[in-house]
Amino acid sequence: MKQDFLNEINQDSFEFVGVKEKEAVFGTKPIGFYRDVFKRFFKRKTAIVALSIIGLLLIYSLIMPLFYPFDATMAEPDYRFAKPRNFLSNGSYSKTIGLNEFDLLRSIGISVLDVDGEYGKELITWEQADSSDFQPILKSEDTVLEGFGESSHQNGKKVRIDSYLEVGFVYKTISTDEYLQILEWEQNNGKNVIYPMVDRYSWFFDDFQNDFRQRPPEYTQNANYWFEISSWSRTPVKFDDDSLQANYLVFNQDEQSISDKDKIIHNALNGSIPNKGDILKYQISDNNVTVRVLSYNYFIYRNGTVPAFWMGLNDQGQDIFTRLASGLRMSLLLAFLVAIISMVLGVLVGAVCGFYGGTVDLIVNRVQDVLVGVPTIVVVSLIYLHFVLTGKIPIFVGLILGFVLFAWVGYARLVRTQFFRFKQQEYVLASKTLGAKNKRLMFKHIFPNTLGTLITQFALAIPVTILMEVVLYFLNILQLGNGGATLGILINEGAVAMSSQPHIIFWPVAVFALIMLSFNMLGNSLRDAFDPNQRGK
Amino acid sequence: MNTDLDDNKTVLRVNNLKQYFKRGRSINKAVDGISFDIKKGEVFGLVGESGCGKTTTGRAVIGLYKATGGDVYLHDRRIIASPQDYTDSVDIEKARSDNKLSFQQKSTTAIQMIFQDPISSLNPRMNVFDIIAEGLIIRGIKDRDLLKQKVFQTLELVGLLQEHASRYPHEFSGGQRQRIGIARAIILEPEVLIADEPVSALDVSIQAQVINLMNDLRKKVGLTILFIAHNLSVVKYFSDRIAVMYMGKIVEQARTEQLFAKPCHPYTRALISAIPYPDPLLENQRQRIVYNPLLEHNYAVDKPYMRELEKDKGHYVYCNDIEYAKIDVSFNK
Amino acid sequence: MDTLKYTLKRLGLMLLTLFIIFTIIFVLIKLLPTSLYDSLSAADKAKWDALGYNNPIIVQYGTYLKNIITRWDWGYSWNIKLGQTSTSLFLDRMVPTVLVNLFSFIIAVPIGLLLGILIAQKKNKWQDQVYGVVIIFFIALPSFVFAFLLQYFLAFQLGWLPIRMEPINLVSGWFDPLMLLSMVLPVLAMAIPIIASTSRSVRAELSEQLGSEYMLLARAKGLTKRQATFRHCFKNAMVPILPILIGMFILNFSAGSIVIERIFSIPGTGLLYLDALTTRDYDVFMVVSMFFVFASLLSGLVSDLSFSYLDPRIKVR
Repeated sequence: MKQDFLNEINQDSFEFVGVKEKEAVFGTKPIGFYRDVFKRFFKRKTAIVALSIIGLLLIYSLIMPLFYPFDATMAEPDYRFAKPRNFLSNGSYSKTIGLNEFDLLRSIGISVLDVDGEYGKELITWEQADSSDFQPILKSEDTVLEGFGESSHQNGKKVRIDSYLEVGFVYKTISTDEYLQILEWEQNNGKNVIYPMVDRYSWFFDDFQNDFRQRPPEYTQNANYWFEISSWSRTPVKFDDDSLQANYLVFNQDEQSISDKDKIIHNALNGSIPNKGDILKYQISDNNVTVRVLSYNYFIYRNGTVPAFWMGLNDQGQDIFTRLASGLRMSLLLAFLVAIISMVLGVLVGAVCGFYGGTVDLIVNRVQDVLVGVPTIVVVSLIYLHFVLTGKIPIFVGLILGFVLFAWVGYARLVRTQFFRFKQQEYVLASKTLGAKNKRLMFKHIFPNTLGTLITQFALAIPVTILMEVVLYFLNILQLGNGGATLGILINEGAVAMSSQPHIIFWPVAVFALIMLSFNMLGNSLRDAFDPNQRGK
Repeated sequence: MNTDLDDNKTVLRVNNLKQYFKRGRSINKAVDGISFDIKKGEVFGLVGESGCGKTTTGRAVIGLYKATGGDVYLHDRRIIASPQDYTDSVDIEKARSDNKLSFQQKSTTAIQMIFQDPISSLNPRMNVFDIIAEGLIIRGIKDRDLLKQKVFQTLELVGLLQEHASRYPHEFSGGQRQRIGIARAIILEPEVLIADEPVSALDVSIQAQVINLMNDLRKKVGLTILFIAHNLSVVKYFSDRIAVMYMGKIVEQARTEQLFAKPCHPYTRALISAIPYPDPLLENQRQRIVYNPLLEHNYAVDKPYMRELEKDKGHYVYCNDIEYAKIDVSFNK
Repeated sequence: MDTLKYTLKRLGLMLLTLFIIFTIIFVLIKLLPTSLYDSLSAADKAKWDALGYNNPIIVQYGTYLKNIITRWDWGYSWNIKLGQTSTSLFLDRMVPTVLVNLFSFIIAVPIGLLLGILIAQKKNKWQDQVYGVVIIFFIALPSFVFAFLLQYFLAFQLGWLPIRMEPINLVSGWFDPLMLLSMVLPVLAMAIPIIASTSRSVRAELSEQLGSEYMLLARAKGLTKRQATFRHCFKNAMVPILPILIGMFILNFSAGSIVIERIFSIPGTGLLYLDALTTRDYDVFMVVSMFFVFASLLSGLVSDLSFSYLDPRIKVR
């Protein structure tokens, strides 16, 4: 019945609608793959943060040293304890000290004001000393020292010390010419550098032993001891009014007993032979003189600017800021070179293995397995010991060699797996039918798929290399002779002195941490940006 | 073997093609000795269920796989050569010279292919222009204007706009992508086009579009097409001759109307029985035939081979003597 | 059956690799210049010669190999602990390393797991965001940075914990309270990266599983969130993580971290390695190196095997 119904409908009333479809025009602009990645990358906050940190680090290592008044080769052993002086900290630190040391530091203020050694004639009070520009003690409060030797309680002071001023005075042996230059400089600049000499080698009367004794070595070497002491522990002799007794070097030679050589020196420096009873500002030793200088001003005289080290000095007196900058440069350069070279090598090997397979692939795999099994540390240290120490190759090259030897494996494996995955893609086959040769297939069609992971790997490899390098230097397996600096060396130096001088390790570790963080973040955001699953979002 | 060497309209001749794959120690005989020829301008359909070897055949013919046995001739040139069978007597000199020839002609672009998956057959990183022009660039054409001219021409042929050339594959629909694939193939003006299940991944309505396009092109450009598919109704609509494949062998081959009028091999009958009809009345009456090779054939003693039916010229069936006798008889009814 | 064959094959490969590496390291270290010999007493020098240490390298190699295979004799320490066999020295030194690693593992893994589970459930809420930012910090920085920080603040400044590990001869044993107290800092320092990476992996895997469709089905069937999470997601999420954990365990357990040991003066295998290298104590160095290599290869193998064991979809090649 249904059939009849169908037959009743007139066939002619139907017309075949052969629609020639019109293609719609797209409304948006075409987006290439890489532009897409670019956009996705910059949308991520971590990427921006990472790039900014890296940018800052680069600026630090490359540009900032140009603005810094000191250079990397300088060494100021006097300022070994100098703390960082920058916008964050003023170069001071806290310490708990005994009363003797307290007096020693505090008296620097007195000694500074006592520029002609007139002490005694015009008493300089402690208050005046405290308000002197060169007073190292910034704040103090009474405290109790616990558990020292037999006496379980002793009076002490908790103080805040300016690490630059605490250097105070130092003994320097200089030529007569330099002496005169200093005098001239003092005149021109209105600052005092040379101060009255101390009578270091005379004996003192020890209250405890009730006898005359030679002065302890700390006394004879520390130019801040300008006062008389009453015991081997360097307790200052104090009068009732709490003032100290000076111990300046006084000239008391007879004219006949002066050698001609000395006469010449006296004449040159003093204008004439000093009178008996004059306080001397120099002490003749052979053909030179030993003087007692205020190190702060002496520094200004020698370097032209005040001592203010942005990251402080290490215990050899080397400036951390510049060393860190140069160390950072080296480390980054090293990591970069290693990454690039190993990437190129790895890509080539991986591409060939992945594309052709077969025996080549098998052999290379076995080699890779062995390489992966050998610990990097061993090989690098062996390269170092065999080739670098014997002088055959410079350490930089040796390091690069050692790292690249292992690093290429990672890239090769990555590229190889990607090649396996994409080798059989239909568009590769399609190209083949169009007549493409292997080389074209490999690099135009398959390889771009690897770029994403490759770049990510690159970004993540840099911190790995730096880590390895830091570890190697830190463990002292590698050493850089000439006082050179890399991140690892700096961290090593800092770790050794961490309890007493924490600032030495602080900035190197901070920079190191920043590198690790920023490159990791960079790598992560790159990986997300390249993720093909997100294409078109 | 059914070859027609004297028929000068034969474009592609496949001769006892074998493609075996080794998997560990076992051998997978994907294509096990098939022969057919395609005449100029015709659409030759190759059907079978998934896994019967039709895609492999297509890829072997175009040279993507190294054939294990047999030859392929394009016009009179041999383009695919393989280690000769042991069963054939080998003329060493002829073999050597044949091999040399096929080496030279290895890079022939006279045969092109359209792939099944519209997504993975286009490189997502290349825009349409690059994809289509790649063949020309490989051939050495560098002139940008000439390339543009050819690409736009081809785009128009397949029903796309010039504006599409700067776009990327992911911005197109499946049907459009297939058309890009077709454009990529025909821009090289191939003699033979192998269409490897070009519509299997598309919606039914789009399938019609693409098939019609191919039909138009065939008339306009004069293509010869090897059409590989598993959907019999599409093949019926679009092919001149059909070969049915099962487990690497061709079991029946005939002109379309012959095949559907009188399917002889049990597998062919099973396939045809599975085609749904858009007529509800017929659908209700349709009976499905299941093909069980072990029950159908006894090839222990009486070996089968491909033979032409006397009573139906141009119709070939793979059978043994007993079966042939039965078929012969059935024609009398 | 396949697994067994595969394991055997891998073990064989491992032995081969070990052998090659053994040879390489042996040759390289023997080639190093050293003045060790000269600093020995006359009697020791005699022993040195008698045992064949002055023979050409090939002969030494052969003797060494033979000794190892026949008697498990890895030679003696000539510098670090004169006269002691390398193996016994190594075993002595292994105790602190193992202890510290064990403790840090025991503490870190549960915390990491818990943390990961907690955060995974709070996906995209503020806890997740905070975690995401903080975790980058803990993952990127190597453990010794934390070691420095902890040592500085907790030991130097506040004095709550000892700066470095107690020498063993000053206390009654490895579990003496003073000793344990001195282990706290290194254990913490090693635990932090483990917690960080474990929790991150767990969170990633678990949140992926939580969002998958079979979870939806489980909830539709009527399971509570807790039941569904633990019975289904957790097991699946563990699959990729467990092998890595096991691998890490074996590796850290034996090899330890040289840097941490240096910072806290832990007399462990890491420092032994370092000392042996710098003082050219060949035999000791061989023992320690080979053990490290063995540990890393083993951890790789166990890790791979457990992968295929845990995930039925992954069939061993």
